[in-house]
Amino acid sequence: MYSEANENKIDELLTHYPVKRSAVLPVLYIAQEEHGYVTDEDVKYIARRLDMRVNEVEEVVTFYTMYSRKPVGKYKLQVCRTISCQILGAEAITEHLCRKLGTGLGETTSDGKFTVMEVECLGYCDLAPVLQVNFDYHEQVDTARVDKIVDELV
Amino acid sequence: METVKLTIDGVEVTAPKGELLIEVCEMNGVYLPRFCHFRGLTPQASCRMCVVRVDKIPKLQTACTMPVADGMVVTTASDEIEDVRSGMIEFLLSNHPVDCPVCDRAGECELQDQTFGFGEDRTRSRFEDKEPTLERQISPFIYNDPQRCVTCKRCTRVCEEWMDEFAITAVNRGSHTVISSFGGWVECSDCGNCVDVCPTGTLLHVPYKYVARPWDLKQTPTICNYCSDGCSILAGTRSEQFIRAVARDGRGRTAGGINNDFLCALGRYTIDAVHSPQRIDRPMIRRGEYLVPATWDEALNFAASKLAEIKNDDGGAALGAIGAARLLNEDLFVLGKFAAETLGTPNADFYHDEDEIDTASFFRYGIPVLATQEHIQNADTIILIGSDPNEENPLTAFSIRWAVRQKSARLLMVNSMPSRLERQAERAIRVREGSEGAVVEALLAPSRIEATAAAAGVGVDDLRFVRQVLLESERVVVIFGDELKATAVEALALFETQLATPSADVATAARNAHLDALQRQVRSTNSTNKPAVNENPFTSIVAHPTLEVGAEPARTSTKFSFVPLFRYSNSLGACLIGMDASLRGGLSAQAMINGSGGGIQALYVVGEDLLGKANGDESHVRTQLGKLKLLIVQDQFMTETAKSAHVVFPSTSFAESQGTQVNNAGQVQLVRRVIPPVGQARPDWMITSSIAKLMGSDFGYQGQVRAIFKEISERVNACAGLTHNRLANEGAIQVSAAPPDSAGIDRADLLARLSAETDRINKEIEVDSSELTAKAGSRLHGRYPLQTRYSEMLKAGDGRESPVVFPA
Ligand code: SF4
Ligand code: SF4
Ligand code: SF4
Ligand code: FES
Ligand code: FES
Repeated sequence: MYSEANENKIDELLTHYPVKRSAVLPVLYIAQEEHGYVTDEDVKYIARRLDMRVNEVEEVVTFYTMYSRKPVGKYKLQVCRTISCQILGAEAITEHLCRKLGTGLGETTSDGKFTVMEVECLGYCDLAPVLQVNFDYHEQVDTARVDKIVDELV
Repeated sequence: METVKLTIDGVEVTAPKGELLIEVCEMNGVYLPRFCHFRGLTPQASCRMCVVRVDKIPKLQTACTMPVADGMVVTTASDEIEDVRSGMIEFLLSNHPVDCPVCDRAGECELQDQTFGFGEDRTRSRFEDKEPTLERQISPFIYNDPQRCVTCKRCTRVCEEWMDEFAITAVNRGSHTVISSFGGWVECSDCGNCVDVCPTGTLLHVPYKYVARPWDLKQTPTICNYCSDGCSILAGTRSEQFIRAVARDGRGRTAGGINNDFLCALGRYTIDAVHSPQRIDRPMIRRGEYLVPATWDEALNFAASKLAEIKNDDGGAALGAIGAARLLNEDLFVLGKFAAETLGTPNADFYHDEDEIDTASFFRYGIPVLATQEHIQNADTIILIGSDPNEENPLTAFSIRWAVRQKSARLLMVNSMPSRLERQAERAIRVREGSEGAVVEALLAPSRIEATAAAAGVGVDDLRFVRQVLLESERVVVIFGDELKATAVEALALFETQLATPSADVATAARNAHLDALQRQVRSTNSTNKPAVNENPFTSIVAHPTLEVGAEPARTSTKFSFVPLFRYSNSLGACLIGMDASLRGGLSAQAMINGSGGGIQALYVVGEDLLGKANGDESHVRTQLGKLKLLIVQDQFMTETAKSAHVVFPSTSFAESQGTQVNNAGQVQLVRRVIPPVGQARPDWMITSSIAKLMGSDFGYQGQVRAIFKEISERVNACAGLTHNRLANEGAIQVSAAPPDSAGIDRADLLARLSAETDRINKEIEVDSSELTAKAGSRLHGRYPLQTRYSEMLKAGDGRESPVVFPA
């Protein structure tokens, strides 16, 4: 289903855990890397490959905000909305991002580059508010910093 | 059983060691609020409603996960605890719609009850709605309103643990968590158990939706009439309509049966057949080509005078009576008595054909020890030969899964067809179709192991392994079905002596080795190195003693006990009360059909569709029935057989009559009348005794069904001492076994017959090695498709053609 390198990687990953299903998170990243998001086919394939039921995979994918079940932009702009960040202005940042990019929350820009999302605590409360762009964290952001980050990616 | 002493709210109580605190409190009259805890499910501890204070432990503890220990001092109510509980409720209500006025669960909703008992009447915060926001149907039988969910996950646990389906799951996260499934549409066994256990109005039964309010329902416990497991159901009726069947209602009232809180799709969703427009509502007499409505008097007189005439002309032996194996004991007994005393014929039989378990062989040497569901749940080893209880006896399948999952029982399977239960099996052997008997031979005659393995198309090692496990186990339940043929069924009587446990030490050592293997499997570090036992980590090794609260696990007196998976709800009862032609020295049902027009001139058929059961031989049966001078049919529906009759009587369904039936564990149970007869229908026994009376024999029952059972209890040893009252008060009562005296069995001859059969097996037949499909198609017993409210819903739901069939 995936590139040979990725299939080999899955084989390799399976040797790391006592039971196959434990590899579900890293394998989901591989799926996402190949297709941009986790497709229905991915869920079925991974369930088969890891001896899981499709519903067990579905439950994991939908739980974690790092995985998407719908097509998303190249960059996921995930603003933490939990209490510390919220108190320190997270809502304003989300609104600003949406206005700037001309999209609604959870929607993707027409050029397919950005998706703005709200997520729960990112574990950096001491440096709130936090914006996560794919795998990178940006702490203590304000609208100006956000502009800079986004402009660099355009 | 080991017990401990603890103090609950200042009162010292004694409790079984290891029992969960929440259950111990309940046993002692202290009800702790709960959402996630449910008897018979693994602990989850997510709702925090059951918190209590246990001395010496700094934080509040969840009683649903805490096993009781000696000397424990527990406080279940205090300001601190009340605060936590009302806080939890407030939290749950913060995104709950509180739309009780339009919610079907209102009146038996645990969220309502808990809020009333332990919560506040307001919530200070409002969370955003869950996604998805709208209510929708998610399966032919399940309706889902996600906003009402309290994420207790009872439903998903039921689906995994009881049904092994994993059909529904919790998706999304946090306050958005809802119950859903991959793809949004649920394909499953349609058992409806998830709906029953749901404490809120999130999951609802489609057929029951907006049909009645719980407080308008009259609830009567009765017994399911579908398969031979014999579950209790709480029959909910309103205005003489049978509206729903549940094992337990939302207020925790149960039918108190052998099935705990379990029901299957058949028992739950076929009740509607009772009100099918296809029911016969009045007697009919043939006038030329047509059956025309008649009064009861006309029809009864017609039947009686014709029977008398034929008896006079051709003699009693020209008459025959056939009853269905799903009729109640009372109906069958009166039919048998009518045949013998009024008609004067030995030809009376309950309908069973050569594809079914041969009752005569099974009972040849006495009544073997029969295993109840409890015995299955507590067996060390279960061997399943030639059947798929998952499709045919769903409660038995549930008990098997329970035993494996919760009690680490060992499951061995010998089948020619794929079965979903294989997932729980320690060893599942697929054999050549028709060779199940060879495996029985291999177990009894080790010297024949090569020949039997070749005949069955399996490895010698597999057979050795199965034999070894049986030898070293202490309690073994043998579950077998139709595929096991007569001689092999007879040979089961040899198990007890031929496969005795060598010694208690061996059994204990084997049990420990098995538990070790399970533990190793959980710990094993390399997944490519497949462990010897089932890889599914959900066959967990933790025993949760939640199903049988505080009771000593049920064990049989013998090492082997049996579960014959009969096809119909009362096959066993029919044998016990002597409706079996082989016991009466008369013709079997098939022989009567074949003799029609010759030795047999009139047939009296009760509740059986001979043509529907003809199995490809329909034109022959039709021709035969056409030769009869008289065909009397009593049935609920206008079956093909009824259409060919000279006179047709409308009879009542199990919901409209009182009586008893015997399940496959030999448990006699009371079927109660829950609604009055539909149309002009009358109970079968009543119709039969009316004809008898017209023919000059008054059975003296005076319309009292209890009087018939009294006679049964006097005449049938297995039922001695039973009365309807006792059954009503005590529930299921198992008839006592009279196990065979092994000295009386001609072992050599039996084994020789078995060998001869093994040698006749056609080795050309290929072994079915197909993979398990996600959902095996249901092989329902009944073949008489009915148009009902439910069947219409199914069609509307996912285009499935009317699978609602009645066990006709
Ligand atoms: S009806 Fe039964 S099998 Fe289907 S989802 Fe509910 S519990 Fe699972
Ligand atoms: S649907 Fe019902 S049973 Fe399932 S988690 Fe929600 S409230 Fe609990
Ligand atoms: S398991 Fe059998 S007896 Fe129980 S509800 Fe289902 S059909 Fe009825
Ligand atoms: S609240 Fe935003 S990182 Fe924890
Ligand atoms: S019942 Fe104990 S936490 Fe839910």
